[in-house]
Amino acid sequence: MKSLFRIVRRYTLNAVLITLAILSFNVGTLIFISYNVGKENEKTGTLSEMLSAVSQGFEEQEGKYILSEAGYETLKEREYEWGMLLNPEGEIVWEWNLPEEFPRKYTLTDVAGFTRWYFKDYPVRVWGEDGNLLVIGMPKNSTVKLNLEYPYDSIRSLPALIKIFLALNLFLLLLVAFWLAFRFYRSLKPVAEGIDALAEREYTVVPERGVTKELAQKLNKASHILQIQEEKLQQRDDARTTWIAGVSHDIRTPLALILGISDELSADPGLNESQRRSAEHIKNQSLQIRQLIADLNLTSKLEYNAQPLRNSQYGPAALVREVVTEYYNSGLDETYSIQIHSGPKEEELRLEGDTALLKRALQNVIGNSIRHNPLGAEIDICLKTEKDMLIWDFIDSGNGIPGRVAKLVNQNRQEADIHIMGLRIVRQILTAHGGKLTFPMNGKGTYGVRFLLPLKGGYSF
Amino acid sequence: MMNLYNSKILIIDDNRELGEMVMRILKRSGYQTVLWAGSCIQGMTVFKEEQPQLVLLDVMLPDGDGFSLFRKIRDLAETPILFLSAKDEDNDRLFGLGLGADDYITKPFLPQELILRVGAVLKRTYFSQGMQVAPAREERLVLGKRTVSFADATVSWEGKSVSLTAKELQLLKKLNENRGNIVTFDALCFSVWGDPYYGYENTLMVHIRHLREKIEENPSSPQWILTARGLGYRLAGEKKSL
Repeated sequence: MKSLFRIVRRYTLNAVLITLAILSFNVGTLIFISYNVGKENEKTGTLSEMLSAVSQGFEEQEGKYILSEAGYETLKEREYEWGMLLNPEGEIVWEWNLPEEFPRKYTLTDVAGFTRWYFKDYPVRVWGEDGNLLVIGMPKNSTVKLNLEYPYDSIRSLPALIKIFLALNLFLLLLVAFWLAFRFYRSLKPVAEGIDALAEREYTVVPERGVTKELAQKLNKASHILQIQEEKLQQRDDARTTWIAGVSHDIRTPLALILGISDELSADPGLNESQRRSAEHIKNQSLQIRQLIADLNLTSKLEYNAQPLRNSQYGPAALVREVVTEYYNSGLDETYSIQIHSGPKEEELRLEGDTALLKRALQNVIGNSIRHNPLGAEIDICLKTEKDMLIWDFIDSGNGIPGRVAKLVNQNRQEADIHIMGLRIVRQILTAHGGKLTFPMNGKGTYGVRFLLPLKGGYSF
Repeated sequence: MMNLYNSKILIIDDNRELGEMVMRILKRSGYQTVLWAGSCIQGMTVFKEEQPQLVLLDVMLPDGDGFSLFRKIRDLAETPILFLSAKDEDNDRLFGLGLGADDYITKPFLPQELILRVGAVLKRTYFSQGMQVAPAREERLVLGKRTVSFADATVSWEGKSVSLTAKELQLLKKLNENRGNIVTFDALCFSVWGDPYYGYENTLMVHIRHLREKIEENPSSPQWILTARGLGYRLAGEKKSL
């Protein structure tokens, strides 16, 4: 609907602009012509001035009328063809180039006939002066005479009529613009919907008809190509995920043997201390491989959206407490302490998310702090809300996150640059929840870890 | 009389080395009779002949899948079955457990984890009624000079006795179930009130204080119900400190 309004607005605006442009052109042309006519009149005078001047150029001498030289010049300049002067009785008292076939005396009926029109197809002009009537003729077919006659009331209501006329014109203009815009919108709508669908990676078929036929054909073709590419990409991603899952499956059974046998050997009293330590070492490395396999599987699934989110309602503060408690309950060394800081607002907050994955993200970050600080550390976890985000800050008293990793992530560089599987998984989990992972510099001059999760969808009691 | 380690355990896994290793692990932990079969047919035959008390079943077998074999065994008996599989997908786990399996262990596993899980299923299935394994502490809890009776909801010492309220009893039971471990505020509130922690902070604190007044020699310096700052409470079992 928004796009319809936009199209209608654009159409209407264009129609108004075109109308204004044409009107301006017409008015300009009219002004130009009027200006030129005015200038011409300034030079030669108006028609009535000319006729008056010629009439006043007559001089009566012994009952005959003689026209001045200036009068003749004026008639010639204005390209009149003939002329005559009638006295009150209708008799010709002066003539100039009068055709032979013209009568020499005219009745009132004759005069009334040609006064405003033609005489023997000659367009005629007349002018009364001193009781006489000057009649001059223009060349045949040189001038068209029209009769304009309007009732007085019509002329008086002309301003109002012009207003109504203009309003009607404007209304019609808008109506046509709206109609055209709507038609355009209707024909464009399937194409726009097709493009939207394409942007959402949905295969689309747009009806190929009307003004957008060619566009729709090209869109359908592009959509088809994209669908094929999408399928190929999906197949490749699936193959990769399946391959990783398959490899990890195949590794699991031999690894179970390595783990089990090394565990047996590490407790075998028949072996010496050094051999038992070696067996213990194999066991620990096997446990690391087990973790790596699990991480590899998870990261590949998160990467290719093969890990469905099993969302449920959870309290962020309670979730952190649960994870931290698990660390304590599993025998966390006394050299470590994990403190949680959260306010009432964060305590009452409830969000939607995959708690198993979020716990995994928390375990990865807390586990990192523990692993990379073998002599012990104080780990602080702060929960706070800012604007529409829930922030989880992790700060430890050790070295924190290496600066290189922090900078790469803060600069939004490719994930390939980070060769830390655990953090990669954390980032993927947060991204899957619409959040992100950052590494802000903390007050201790080291880089901490920050989770940002949107509060949208969350609520408080 | 049957005890836990007299239980007969059958392993059905096509990997001989793994089967033998599991047999060794279980035998070393005390189980006297551990059998192995390498296929569905062999597994079914051994099951019918030996009538084991527990089956450890692989999902992928050379002549069929473990899920089908699970159904066939369950048609014959209600013997507890644990899947032992390299298939670690959530779907596989959920499917296996959905069929009614008693547990689903993924390979690779820690030997100790396997022993504990097998023991837990056997105890739950065969020994929970006879109280041979069921800890007496579920009925009575001895905390120094004081004894808590869960049945009577009382704490008694030196000829004196005091009653526990229903909420105090529930709290103490929850702490006792996880004795030695921290129980979060959230888990305690959920078990007692069925609600999240928020809104119950003071109520929980008051109930814990009352509980301490009844079970502790010196409530202001508690020896049994210990506070894990910012996390929850722990009922001291062994001599552990936070």
